[in-house]
Amino acid sequence: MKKRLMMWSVLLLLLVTPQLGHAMHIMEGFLPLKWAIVWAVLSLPFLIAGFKKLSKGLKPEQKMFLGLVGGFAFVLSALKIPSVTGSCSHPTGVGLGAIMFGPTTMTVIGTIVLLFQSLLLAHGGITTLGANVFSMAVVGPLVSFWIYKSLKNKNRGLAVFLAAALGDLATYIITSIQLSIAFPDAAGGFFTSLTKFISIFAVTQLPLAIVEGIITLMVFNLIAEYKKEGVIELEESI
Amino acid sequence: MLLIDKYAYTNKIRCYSPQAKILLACGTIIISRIINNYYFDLLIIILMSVLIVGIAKIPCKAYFKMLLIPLSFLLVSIVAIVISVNDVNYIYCFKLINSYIGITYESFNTGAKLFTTVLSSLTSVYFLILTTPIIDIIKVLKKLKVPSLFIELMVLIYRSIFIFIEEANNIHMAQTMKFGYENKRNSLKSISLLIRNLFLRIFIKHNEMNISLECKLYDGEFKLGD
Amino acid sequence: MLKINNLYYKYEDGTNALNNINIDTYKGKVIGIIGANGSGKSTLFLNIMGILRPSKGEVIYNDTSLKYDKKYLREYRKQVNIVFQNPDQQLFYSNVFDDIAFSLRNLDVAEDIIKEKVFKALEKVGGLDLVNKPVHFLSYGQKKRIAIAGVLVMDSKVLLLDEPTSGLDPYMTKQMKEIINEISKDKTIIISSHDMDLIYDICDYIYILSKGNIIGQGEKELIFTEDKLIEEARLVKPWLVRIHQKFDLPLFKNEEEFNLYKGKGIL
Repeated sequence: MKKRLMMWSVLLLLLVTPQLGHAMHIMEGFLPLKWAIVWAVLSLPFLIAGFKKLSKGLKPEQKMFLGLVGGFAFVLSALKIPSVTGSCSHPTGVGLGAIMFGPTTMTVIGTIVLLFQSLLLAHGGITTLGANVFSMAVVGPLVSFWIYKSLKNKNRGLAVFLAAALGDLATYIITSIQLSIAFPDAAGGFFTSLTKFISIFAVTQLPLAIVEGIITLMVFNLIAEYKKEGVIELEESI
Repeated sequence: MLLIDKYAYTNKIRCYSPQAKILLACGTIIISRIINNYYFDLLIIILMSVLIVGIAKIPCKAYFKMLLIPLSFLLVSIVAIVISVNDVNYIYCFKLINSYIGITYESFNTGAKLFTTVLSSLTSVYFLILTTPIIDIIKVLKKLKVPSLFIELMVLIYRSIFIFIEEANNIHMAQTMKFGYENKRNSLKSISLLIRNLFLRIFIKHNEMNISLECKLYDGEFKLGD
Repeated sequence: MLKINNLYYKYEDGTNALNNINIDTYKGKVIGIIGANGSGKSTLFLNIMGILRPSKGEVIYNDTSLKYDKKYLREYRKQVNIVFQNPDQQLFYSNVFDDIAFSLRNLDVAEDIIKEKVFKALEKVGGLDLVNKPVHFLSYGQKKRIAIAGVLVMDSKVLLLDEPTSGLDPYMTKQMKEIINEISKDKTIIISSHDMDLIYDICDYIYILSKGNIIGQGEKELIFTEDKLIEEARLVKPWLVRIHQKFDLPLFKNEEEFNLYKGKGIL
């Protein structure tokens, strides 16, 4: 009998997953106004802190640099990467960005990139910007950066992979939490809802996290080659 | 790639006041939430669609295609919200081993309301982004006293996006000609190379552009005028 | 007004990029700098603009040697400016008007004067219809024209043009030639190009650069007949020079003269 349950769940999820190949942006209008505001308010202090840090330490020639980083992050998140389930996914860029440029910078740049994603790709939303910023521009980069920093001296490759993969997972868990708070299950409340969302999204988000982890590691190694030859100077956190 | 951007510049109401368009879009989103009524949502959906297709003359087919993508995500999420396990008052359910999985009246209502709410917000946003170029939106944000560093970054990032899109397309095409995406393993390798090259471009372009900035008497600010 | 005296420039790894360069812009209205790839043309331009500092020798403008403090360079670049080969590295805004206005806004010029100057510059490059277009919608040739307009707007006295026609189709090249002829009426132009016919057509005086050295200089009619020099510099002769040398045609100054010729010539 357990087999039957498995089969049904897998079937249902397979039906559902091609659509979920996209990264975890909450779409426009999805969150009730109350929660949209709550998350916006919660991410605001991080944004302001990142902003203050940036404007204090920013040299005039670095403005253009940040502009280019933002353009890069946007295009990165619009690329199609192969996914295990066959459908296409888009990387979040959270891991690579956080490792290369630091979490506070990525909060500001990430916010602008998210804004552009909603304005240029209709990916995510303006009312849900606060929630998406919290999951993808605050928590994600922080998790990635912290993991990278703690592990980089022990095993750099593993550090990069875990930073990217777990950063992605953290983003997806936060998004699931945001959705569960807004839409608690009628019977089981928040936790049942959370289980529902996490399991439904897991099918695409887990493979995506792993693939993005692998790709981030490969890119990092390629960049390290160039860094060794002194071709570029990297400031690991502005 | 950026179809929405192209329409924003070529639609028939591009030159109308961006403030009015932003007000209309944001206003309807907020009001429809406050009123929270199916019929109002439907009204907005129809109104916005008429404005987009009828007045701004965005091609109907393109518009529907654009709606389809978020729609599928929406339906799937609604399924997650609507289905519950072992609840009471099911209007429809089926038994799976020892549990009942089904839809209650409340959850159905929630799902249906969510559907119309999202669709009305979505169409409002589409109205805004399909008829208003980003640069106009940025200028309105500037008038609303958004911090100037933020505005400058938006201008620079917007320009950089197109530089990188072109680069990414060129690299991708060249790689495809060399069979870079024939199988999964090659695809991973090729995309990593692509990303690495884009990353390096940041530094190369940074150096080049800084030279130009110096010649253009850059004093630290990217001004926008009035 | 612009002079280069005994200029040497060394790269960071020690290789000599430029050796004993002497240039005098009084020699002509449109000065051409020609040479093979890697001969040092771009490095020379960057030295002139004060982006790079010579290891020896000096750049002299209006009888004053170039100073490298911010204030001096700012004033200097109001008078002497450059249009780079790659338009993308000089376009910062997504809106054509804002991009052209950039340098004027940096000088705190009033908005109404900015408007006037921007439209004047656009007119000079034949780009008035592009004013409200987003930059990323422009073709390569259009971008090149906007890049020029963005510098024209500063009304400098000396303008450096780095490969202005590279990548342009024949029609656009002709248009660019006309634009350069137009702007040379009130400016001194220093132009580098691989297009020998363009150089021959619009320049008055030419310097030949080879491996960082000036191996020859002179008026255009004289310099291009120096076969050995042209060969050493790995260049070719303009077609007007070649037909003059091969057939018995006079040496025409430009294509118009050639078209008007009704004499005997080959046949």
